[in-house]
Amino acid sequence: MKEFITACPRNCYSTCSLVVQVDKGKVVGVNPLPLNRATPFGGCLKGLSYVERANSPDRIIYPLKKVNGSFKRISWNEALETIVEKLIHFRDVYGQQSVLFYAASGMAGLLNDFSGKFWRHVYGGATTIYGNLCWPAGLEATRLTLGENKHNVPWDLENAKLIVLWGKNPAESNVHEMIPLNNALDKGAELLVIDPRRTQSTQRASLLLQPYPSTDAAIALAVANILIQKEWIDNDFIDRHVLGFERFAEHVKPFTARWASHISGVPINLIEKLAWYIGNVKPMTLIPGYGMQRYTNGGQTVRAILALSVITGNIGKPGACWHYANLQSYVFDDVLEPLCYYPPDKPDGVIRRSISTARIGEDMLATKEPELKMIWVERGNPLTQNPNTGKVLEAFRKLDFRVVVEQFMTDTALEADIILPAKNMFEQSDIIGSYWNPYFQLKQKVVEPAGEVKPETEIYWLLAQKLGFTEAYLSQVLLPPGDDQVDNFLESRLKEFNLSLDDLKKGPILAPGLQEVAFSDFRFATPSGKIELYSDQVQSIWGENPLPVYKPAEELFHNQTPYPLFLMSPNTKNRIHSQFNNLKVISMVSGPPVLQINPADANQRGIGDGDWVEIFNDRGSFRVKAQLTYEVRVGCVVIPNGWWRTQGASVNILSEGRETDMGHGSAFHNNRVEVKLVKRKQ
Amino acid sequence: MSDRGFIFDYSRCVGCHACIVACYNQNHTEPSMTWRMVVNGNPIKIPLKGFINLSIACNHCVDAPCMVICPAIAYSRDDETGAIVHDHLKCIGCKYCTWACPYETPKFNPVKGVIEKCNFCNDLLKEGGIPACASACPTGALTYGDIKIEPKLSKPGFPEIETSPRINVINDIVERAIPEMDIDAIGYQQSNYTERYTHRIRASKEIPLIIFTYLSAVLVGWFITFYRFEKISSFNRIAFIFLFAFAGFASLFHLGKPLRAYRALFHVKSSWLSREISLFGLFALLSSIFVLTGTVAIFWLALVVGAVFLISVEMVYHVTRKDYRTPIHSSNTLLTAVTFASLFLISKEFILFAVVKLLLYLSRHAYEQNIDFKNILLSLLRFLALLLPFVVILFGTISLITPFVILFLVGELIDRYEYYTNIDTHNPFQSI
Repeated sequence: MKEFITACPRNCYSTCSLVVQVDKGKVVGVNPLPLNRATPFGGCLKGLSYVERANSPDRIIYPLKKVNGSFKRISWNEALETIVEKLIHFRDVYGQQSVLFYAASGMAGLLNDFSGKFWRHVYGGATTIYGNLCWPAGLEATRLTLGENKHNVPWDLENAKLIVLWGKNPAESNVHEMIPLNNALDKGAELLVIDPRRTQSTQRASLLLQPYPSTDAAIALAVANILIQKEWIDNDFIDRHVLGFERFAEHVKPFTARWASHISGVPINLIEKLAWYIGNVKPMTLIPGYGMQRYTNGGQTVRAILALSVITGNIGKPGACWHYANLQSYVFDDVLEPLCYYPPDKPDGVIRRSISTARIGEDMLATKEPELKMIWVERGNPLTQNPNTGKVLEAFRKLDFRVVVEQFMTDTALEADIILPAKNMFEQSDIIGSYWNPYFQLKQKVVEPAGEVKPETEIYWLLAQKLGFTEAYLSQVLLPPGDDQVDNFLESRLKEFNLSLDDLKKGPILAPGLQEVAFSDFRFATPSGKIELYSDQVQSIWGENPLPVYKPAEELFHNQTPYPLFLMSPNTKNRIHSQFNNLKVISMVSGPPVLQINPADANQRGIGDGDWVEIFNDRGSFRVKAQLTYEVRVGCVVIPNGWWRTQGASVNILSEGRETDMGHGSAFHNNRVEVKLVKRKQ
Repeated sequence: MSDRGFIFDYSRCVGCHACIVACYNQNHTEPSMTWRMVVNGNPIKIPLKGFINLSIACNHCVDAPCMVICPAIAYSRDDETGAIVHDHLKCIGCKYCTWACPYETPKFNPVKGVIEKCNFCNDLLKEGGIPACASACPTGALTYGDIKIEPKLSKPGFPEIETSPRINVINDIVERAIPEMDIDAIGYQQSNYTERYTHRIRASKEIPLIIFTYLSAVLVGWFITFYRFEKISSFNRIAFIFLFAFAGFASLFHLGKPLRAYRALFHVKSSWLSREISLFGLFALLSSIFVLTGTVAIFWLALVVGAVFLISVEMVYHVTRKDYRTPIHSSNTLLTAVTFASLFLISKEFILFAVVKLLLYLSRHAYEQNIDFKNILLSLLRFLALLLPFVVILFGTISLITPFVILFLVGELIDRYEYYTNIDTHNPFQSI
């Protein structure tokens, strides 16, 4: 048995370092690597489930072709010939833009860039996607305020005396953050949580505020008002580092606790108590989540909350930070998030970024001259994860030809004409950063690809050859097949930091130039060089108020809606979005999908625990079992995102395709529904 | 033997289930089977009440009840590591250990017909490693190391039984950590929540045992009436032996591995279940010899063995938790045997036994809260089954006795069924 150091490439805060055990060419164990100070005790249940995932009999390991509605194994040659024939046909008849290239966050790595290069330099163009489903509104809000997205190293949380989890549930979404968090609490820190749910992370909290979803900005503005009135602010910090404080102070005067209480449903005294803690306990680390910025007011909400860290001087010090995203390990990227989510200012005609990922269904259907004829999907499952899935499915089915590169038979793979077997994390080396811990790491190749699996870089190379390009040209733009080529490429990227693959094989590497305490130099890359509470760019780029405001989220506060319940679709510890739940061990742990509903709301509708209910709105409906729980506040229901349609509860069937106010994010949490009883529990 | 074991920190466990997946990787358990469990306290998050999670598997107790009570000697202790190891090749699938273990550690695999359980990752321990679950815990809540072994822990989720488990538990104080919050936002009303309790011993799943213990009482009672050997008809002799065979046969249906039933005789030294089975066999042998030969000495010997056999039947249940408050249950097999014998003999002692049974039955039900129509009907039948023979014997209309014997037998069967709803395993997890 051999052991290799590697790292988990999922779209997840933790980005754990792992030791993989390989025996006779199979992954047989996943163990901790204490060298990573952020994940010293090892990965989560998902990381451990790679043993099953890598060896699952359900894995797609041969090219498949849909024949009369069912999939049939074909040779790589037939698969590639078919695709090339279509590519040439669509290019010649409709132009390259009739092909949509869709990639999402299924697997991180530097080699992913070669996919874009194929479509640009080999195929000569394609329609692509801009924006991102996850976190752009908060990234943009932070960028416009602080200049950069970075925060203190995870273990600095132990220095905090006040920890505010604002819409984040790290016990499920970032379990390793609970290590420094619990250490801080053991040392006497206080924990406050703002979340409509009484999540696992509230276990040791002193205070829990449960607002209606999307009303967080109102609470933040009221808290800012109290802080300023009571002079619980850091005047010295404000004088030196903050732009627009006077205008901000004037601006928040009308936003009283009573006003915020009316909007958010949180009692006045709890808002005042929150303000007292934030104003009087230092240092404070404020940890916002990503869920509450997936609303049409998401960017402004994040700006309003961030203002609390700013006016109390909780930036740039040990134990004090704005803990949203830490991109310090993304040292290989030319353009960092969120700027890389922007559509290009001047489309050069080759890559036309016309489709918003937030509105992909609607935009695919609306695209003209040329109409879309084909889609290529890799590292993504848009038929589960993109909003208004019914529309996305309609747009998919309207196409002439669909290629999906996948490991498992997902909702998206099921709609494919050709499925190409995708590599897993153990079958090709790559380098990955993290948006939480400060390391970049080698994700090592430890086994040969299963069956006939080929990495994407190789698939593109073979396609390009079939399209008639010479090897001489291709080696300029693509990565030739072979592990040596991958290693050479990675070595060439590492050279700029005087590092080699051998260094990375020993463990994670702290990002060069890392600030353990972010902004400890108090340099802010904003136009003014200061923290911009008042940001002209907010207005010039996004047409929003330069000061943080509360704007009711679209759809959520119409008085006469037939859909009275807020639908929340958070992430669960059992999945990364739509990955993992097809595994036996994960589905055993997660159980079948359920709708969580407060017993008061359930009683009104005659619903008992375990009854079958239908959840619906204008966009769609499905049936699921009800689970009555006081974890959810009255007026909200919860189904975690990521269940496949074939697993029974694909929640984005109910969500709308809308962009957030900033950053080209997806406002799919603006969502109201009704629930009715269908069948009593047996 | 080292004092090493699990250390569990309530303030670190977030209920993430990584321990279960680590166990699955290491031990290749087949879902939905898991050797380790994560118990969520206050699962529906009742406000003004804290919540904690408990990750638990076998605690490899120094005084392991499973080892003592297993009739087939399927459990053994590894003296080097302290691991309590279960050998599935020796297991007869009687599930008795699932009653005796207060940690719900032994799991019955219905496909294989045997018990499976956590083995402490004994191979890893011997190589100097630690159990897979403890090495995988991402928050440091579950670890393995030096511990102080106490007879019992007095911690939430842990039983009052003294088994000296190899586990230490810290920071259970977080159970009392309750955030200040708005109760109105939660809409909590006492009335719209009823605590649910799931029984682990379910009468409907224990039919073979019910039949076996019930017939055991009937057989011993019937055998008492044989002291007038000359009055036993040959039909009765055949019926008696047939009923014996039937009782033994019924008990086999309780086993996951009926072909290994002989192993149940192996552990007479310490297992009441083993004693019960052995005495059953001995009583069957002696009583059959008597029925066929009429040797008086054999009768008395068989009678003594029968009585001890019924005592062992009762003792088998000493591992369970009794949900009734009377000193003995009204379906106690010894009591049933003598009651039946006295009725069959139309003896006035029946009045005494019937009164005792009725009082036990009544006082048990005096505390009952959920009374529905079915319960009332069954209780009425119970009353009639005891009262009618009572009246008959008191006023001496002997000719009607046969239907009343049948009525009595039906009533006793109902009572024996109830017994299995009145006992359960020790279930400390439901208290967190």
